[in-house]
Amino acid sequence: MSGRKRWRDDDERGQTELPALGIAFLFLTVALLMTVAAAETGFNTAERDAIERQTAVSLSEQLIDEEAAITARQNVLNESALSQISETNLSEEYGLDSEQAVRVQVGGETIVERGDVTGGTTVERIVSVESQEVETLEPTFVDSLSVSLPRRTDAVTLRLDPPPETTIRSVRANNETVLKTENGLAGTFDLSLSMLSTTTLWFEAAGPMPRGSVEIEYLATETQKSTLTVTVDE
Amino acid sequence: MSKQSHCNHQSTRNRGQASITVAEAGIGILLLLGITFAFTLGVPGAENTATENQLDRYADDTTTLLSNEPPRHQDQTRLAEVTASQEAFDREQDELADRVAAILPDNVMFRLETQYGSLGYPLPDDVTTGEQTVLTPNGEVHLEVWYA
Repeated sequence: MSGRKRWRDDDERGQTELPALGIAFLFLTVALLMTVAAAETGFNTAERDAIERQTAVSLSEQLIDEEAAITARQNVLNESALSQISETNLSEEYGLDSEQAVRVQVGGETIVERGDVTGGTTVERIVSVESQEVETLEPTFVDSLSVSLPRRTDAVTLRLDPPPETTIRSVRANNETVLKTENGLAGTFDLSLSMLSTTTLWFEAAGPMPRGSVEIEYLATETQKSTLTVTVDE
Repeated sequence: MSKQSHCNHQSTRNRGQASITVAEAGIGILLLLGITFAFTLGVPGAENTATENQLDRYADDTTTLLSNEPPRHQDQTRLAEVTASQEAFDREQDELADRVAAILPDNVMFRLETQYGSLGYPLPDDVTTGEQTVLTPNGEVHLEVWYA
């Protein structure tokens, strides 16, 4: 009699049931798999972001370097040379992986894009864009035989065509004599000037100098602030 | 006697007892969910590194552009001019502040320090900054930038 009672006690003592244990294991395993998946995604994203950033920074450094094909000086881009970057030399000259999607923009305008860039990492650099234009000036000498060039320039082509009774004896750029003769200057001369300050050309001549006697052709450089944006999408 | 024990035995069976397995599983799941959130939501320091990197680039570019600009008066470059002497600094500081503000993007604020004084905005306490120090023939110039 007592043996039967003890058996029933064991049976109904609060004890783990097999189905409950199985379901608990199932839930825990699912949670564990979720955690591992999240961890792996997190690691992969961090690694990809790091690689994208490193590539973007390295490419931007190379592009604004003074030795680069598109720059005139450090951080100063040459507007006419911007077409020098193309998709083909992105991997050769700039050492980019062929799988990476890259986009380079200057002042918002895309100058080269390879692949499909959606998102990724962007690096912005501050640059100046320099554009050069040839301008011509024909001065009328009113008060003195001098003319100030409106822009700083380092390359000037001077065309001297004085009337027959006039002889131009010398030409000075600021304080430096650049052309001098006793017989009279005439013809085309190339001058090399300093960019440090604006240049005033002084002419020493005997006789009238009407408009057209002197024609000045100079290379005017204009700089504009801009940004170089490099986006890399792995 | 047997009736008594039978009654006790019955009440044991019908007492509401929580399954310990459910409680254990619940705690385990909470722990794992906590770890999952740590990975998915990310560590806060990561974004700061990217910002600091970009700000460092801005500072670097700004000092490069300033170093290569022709000066207003005599000295070699604009930056060298401002570190030449106390009076040169006082004379040039407004113009230089305008120039730095023009170079940097609109949402970036700056502070430029030289041995003769500082110009720009006061540095807030807990903000991510990028910086660059450049050496001029007359002394050091330290530029610090941050997002407004």
